[in-house]
Amino acid sequence: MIVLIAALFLVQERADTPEACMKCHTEQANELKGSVHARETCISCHGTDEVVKNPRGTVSHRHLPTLKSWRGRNLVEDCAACHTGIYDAYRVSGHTIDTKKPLGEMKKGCLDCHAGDDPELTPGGRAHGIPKASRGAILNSCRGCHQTSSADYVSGRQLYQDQDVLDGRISAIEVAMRGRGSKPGVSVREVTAALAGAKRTAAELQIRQHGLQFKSLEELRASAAGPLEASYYSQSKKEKEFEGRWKYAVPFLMFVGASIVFVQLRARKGTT
Amino acid sequence: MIEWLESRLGLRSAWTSATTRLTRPLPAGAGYRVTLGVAAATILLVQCCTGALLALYYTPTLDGAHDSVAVITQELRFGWLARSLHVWGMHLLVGILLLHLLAEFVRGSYRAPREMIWVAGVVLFAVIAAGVFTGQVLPMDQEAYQGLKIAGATAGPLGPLVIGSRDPTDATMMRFFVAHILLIPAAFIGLLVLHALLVGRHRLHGATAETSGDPTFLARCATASLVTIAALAILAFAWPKGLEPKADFTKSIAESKPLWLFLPLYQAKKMGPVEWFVLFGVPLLLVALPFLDRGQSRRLTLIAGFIVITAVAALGVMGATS
Repeated sequence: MIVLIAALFLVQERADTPEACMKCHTEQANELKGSVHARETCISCHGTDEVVKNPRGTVSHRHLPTLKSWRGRNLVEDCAACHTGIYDAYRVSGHTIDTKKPLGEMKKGCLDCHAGDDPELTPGGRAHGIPKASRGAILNSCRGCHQTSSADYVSGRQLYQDQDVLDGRISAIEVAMRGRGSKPGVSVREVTAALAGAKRTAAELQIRQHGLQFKSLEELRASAAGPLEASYYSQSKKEKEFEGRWKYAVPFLMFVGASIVFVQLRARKGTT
Repeated sequence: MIEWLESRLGLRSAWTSATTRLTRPLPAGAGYRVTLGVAAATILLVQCCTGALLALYYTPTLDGAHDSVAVITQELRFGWLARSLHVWGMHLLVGILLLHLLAEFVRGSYRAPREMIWVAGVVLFAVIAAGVFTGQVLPMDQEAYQGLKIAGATAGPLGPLVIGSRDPTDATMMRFFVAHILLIPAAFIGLLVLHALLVGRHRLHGATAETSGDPTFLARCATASLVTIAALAILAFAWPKGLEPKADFTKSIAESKPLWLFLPLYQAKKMGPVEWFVLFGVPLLLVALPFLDRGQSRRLTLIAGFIVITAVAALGVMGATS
């Protein structure tokens, strides 16, 4: 009997390659397609090496943790391996998960917001693409613990609203500035620099927001939004000024016109 | 030969007559048509003044050229005006010169003893065309880069002399800058002085009452100058010249139209030997015109002339609409 079982293990074949998994899990494979996470293997999140192919051709992965059972660990360390900036920010938030604590006592981890809009985080949901967290998903997650009237919830919601306003202004000004760089009279240098700065800040906010330090986040946002609005305002003002350039041409043209009249009158006087 | 030159050019007597010429009465019977040359000379003067201002702020390097033109166009106070006047001056100058050439051709003003006035005028036009081309390269936008590449290809074995290598370098920019602000102005100032002195020597064609001292001619010249300046100012203020994005050498040359002056050549390039006719045949015909037409048949000259003009104009229209 022992020999038989040993023999069974010997003929077992490892089947933990993504190609092997995706033969059956086509839905998850589709979700992964086009995501940066497509380069990860299945077991880098569902970590185990117990996926084996039985001699009969079936795959056994009884011990492979699904997302549901894996939720406690919530992959924070796995994500942090690449997303170091976000992890550094996240660690100063009050949401850091202590992975040593038993299930149920955990705070919020990556997948609480980044698993599509599905609050249930069902295995085989849209989570495999690891989408950007929507505002709805985030606030939904917040409401899991915080009262909607609480200061933390209000501050968080305000932060997201302000961030959306900044993003909106960046793209609106970018669209408005299109083609204006080739126009004469006014330089777009300042606005271009402010736009580049605001874009950098917006990207930084995307990372640093994971720390939930609302005050410094607001300061950072304002440091980009202020110069952007100021430079765009001064750009529009200078353009309006340039529109008024005729005020320089009119006296000159009047002078030239008067000269023509003078020349013609003198010429006529000379002939008579 | 020397006798002939002396009788036509009168270099020896030029100096002595220069002072008296300025004070002697002007010919009568000269309408506004003859002020076209004065209008063109006025623009050349404007080009010299605005060009000098632009040269003060221009950087003739591959990397700095576009930036410096952007500073002139967008940041320098009234820099846009200097540049717009310069660019519109070019359009107006070429247009007026073409009209000038056409008007004098129709009137047959090139016939003896005024051959050299005509020849100097034709060469002057070629020099100004060279000025247009070199000036167009200086901002180093995509159009400039493409113009440079096409010119390099057209020049064939002489191409590397113009550009320097496959792609323009700092040296190319310096070459074009020096040509544009030094060699070409020197050439056109010399030719213009010659052209004007010769007109003074041989009198305006069609001027009959040489001693009438009609003062309205001078008034007409002054009026033509002033109207030209006003037109130039209106164009520059109404449509100030912007600046296209910096040239990207990695982009392959897309089909783009050259300046309207070069449209006939652009079209002819696609038509094999026609290119050589436009590039060399037409200028040669223009220079040789006074020596071909010695007054045998006025009608024949006009018909032949209009066939050539129509052909070149048709090439231009085809180039513009293709």
